Amino acid sequence: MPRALMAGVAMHGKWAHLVVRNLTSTRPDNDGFNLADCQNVVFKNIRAIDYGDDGVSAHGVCCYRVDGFQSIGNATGICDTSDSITSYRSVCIDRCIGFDLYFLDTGRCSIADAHIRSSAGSSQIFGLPLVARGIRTSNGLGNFDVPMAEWNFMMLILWQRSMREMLDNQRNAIGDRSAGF
Amino acid sequence: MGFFGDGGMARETARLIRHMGLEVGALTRDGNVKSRDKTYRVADTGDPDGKLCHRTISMDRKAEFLAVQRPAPAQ
Repeated sequence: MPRALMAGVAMHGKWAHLVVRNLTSTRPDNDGFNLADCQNVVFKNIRAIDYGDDGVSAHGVCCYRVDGFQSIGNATGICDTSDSITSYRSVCIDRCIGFDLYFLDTGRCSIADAHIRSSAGSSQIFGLPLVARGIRTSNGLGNFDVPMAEWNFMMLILWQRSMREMLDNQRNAIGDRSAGF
Repeated sequence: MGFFGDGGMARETARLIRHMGLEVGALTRDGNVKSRDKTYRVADTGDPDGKLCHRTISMDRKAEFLAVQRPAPAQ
């Protein structure tokens, strides 16, 4: 299980003025596109399929634009964090079992021309008189079992391989963004 | 490998790791692993009958604190 497969596409550091187009990334364990601190990067016609975590995830001071994105079968459709500034157009999110859109911290994001086929929770059934109609519903219990178990499995391997390195990083307050993590 | 509880995540993790030769233990409220055949799960995943758990530990309901300890890894 190569370490490089933790994220399908990882772009960390001061990358700038790049165009990535017509790329499908599928089935590594973490994010489809894990992006941190890149500037003025453009993604065109990309897809992330069957990931244990986010379809695309922005971290740090990250600035990019996505024109054409499909996020299918991931834990989260899009998850942007920190101070990221992102823009998405022509987005399709389908069968993501966590949040479809998940925004954290203080960044800015715009999404246009998006279609979300939500399976992420129960908010879509709020307002429906299901109880009055005698219809029983359930929450997402059971949906998270598989990605969480796969995450646990990967962490088990990481601890076996790199426990001391991870502890050293924690003691020294080092955020190691290498592919191994 | 030890788990807090015997829920769906623990059972699916147990299923994944069983081929690595690890034994599975679970800390449950009453020391038993119950059937979860009425809880939703993705087909062919998990352990609805609780057969993958080798041993359980009961958690005393009266306990106010729970200390977690494990041996230091071999250097």
